[in-house]
Amino acid sequence: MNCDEALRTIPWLLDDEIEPAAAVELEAHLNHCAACREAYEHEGRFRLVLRRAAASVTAPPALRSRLREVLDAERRRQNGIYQLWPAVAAAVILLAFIWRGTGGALSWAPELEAAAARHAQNLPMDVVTADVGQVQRFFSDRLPFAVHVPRMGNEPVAEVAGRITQLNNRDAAYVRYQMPRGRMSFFVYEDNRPELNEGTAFYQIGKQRVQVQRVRGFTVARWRSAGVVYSVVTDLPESDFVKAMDLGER
Amino acid sequence: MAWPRFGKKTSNLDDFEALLEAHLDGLFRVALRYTRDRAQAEDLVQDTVVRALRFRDKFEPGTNFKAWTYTILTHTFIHKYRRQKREHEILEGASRADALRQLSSEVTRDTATRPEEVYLDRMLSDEVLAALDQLPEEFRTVVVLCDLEGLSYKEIADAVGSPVGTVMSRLYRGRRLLESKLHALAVERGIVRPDRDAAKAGVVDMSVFLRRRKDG
Repeated sequence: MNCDEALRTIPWLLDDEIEPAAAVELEAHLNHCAACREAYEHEGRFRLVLRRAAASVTAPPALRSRLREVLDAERRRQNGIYQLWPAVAAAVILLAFIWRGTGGALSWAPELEAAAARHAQNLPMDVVTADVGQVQRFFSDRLPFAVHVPRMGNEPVAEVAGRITQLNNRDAAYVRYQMPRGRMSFFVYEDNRPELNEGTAFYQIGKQRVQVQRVRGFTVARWRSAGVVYSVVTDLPESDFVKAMDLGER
Repeated sequence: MAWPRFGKKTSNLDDFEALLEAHLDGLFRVALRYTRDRAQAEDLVQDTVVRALRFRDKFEPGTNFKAWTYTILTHTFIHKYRRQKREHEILEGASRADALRQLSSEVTRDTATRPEEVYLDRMLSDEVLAALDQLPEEFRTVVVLCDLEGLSYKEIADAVGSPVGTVMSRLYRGRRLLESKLHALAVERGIVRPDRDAAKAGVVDMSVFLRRRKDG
């Protein structure tokens, strides 16, 4: 290897981008050529100075906390409603337990009467599929608010169906899950009115206040998040409901 | 080395966060050199993270998370921030022409006057970074990715969207240009004397070498 080749390949050696054979040749050349060795050392020093300068810069704490917020928002978006299912299940068990003795109570949200009625009606659906994603897409441009259609985890779902329905003059996404031992209806709708609190029990589960009650003989769970209300009506036996809620998504 | 697989599972956000944490200083470093403005650099990193999150399913396990995020950062900078800073670019266009003129004249002069003593070790980090910031963008990006962050030629080529050969020649020219700026600064600060005899210069520059060979 001559000096031209050596000078040309020195950066490659320092960048670790050199063929092993060429590296051996270059090193041999550097061992007996003082000028090239000096060029090599100078080039190495140059890289070292750059790296040292670079290391003096670190990400500011403000950026770290901004990014933590971005990630937390992504977690919330991704989990969305999924996170709530175990919470709702817990509330259902609790309430079912209480009501087994008392046998019924007040209805605290008028649209739940309508929701329970829809559930009982066996309405025709616009989209019927085994694919939750397809139902999700069905709602995507039909409602002015975002609808996250949850997937069932452990419980087999024979079919999932979706349509737009009305609950007390409000458009609502209606998703119906058909399972071996019963059905579950899931409603999403906008409601910016102040919450009616009288006569109802709230269960603080995590960050969410969940209401659970019996309406028309069905178990109904209801909670709200950012102006959107979620209701679940089911005739599933408790154990199946709980199993269905115990989702694979975590 | 097995990289975590990013799917739709929530737990993988934790993996993502851990990897991000490990590379955040580097991302900010690169963004700061690209934008040359701390506030913009923070925004650029945030935009990069948001994009990386959105496309994390496309991250191929077994590939390098660092190179992947640096590529997103570079693309975001080129397509969003550079456009935003059009005024800057015009300015830079002028300084770029200057820089290229310098490159053809000054590098030669510089090599002729470079002393044996080690002036590089006496430069402050801030000075080095300020000199780097003066490089035209096409040189600055490759020097930052290679010399500051240690990406491979191939990874840099992917990040800046140029062939490996182009990256190599930009690297060569960018390094020489930066070196000449550092040397000029060292002269300014009195670290080295400018009037050294060319014959005593210990370091041989490739361009000088090639010219010598052509002449001789």
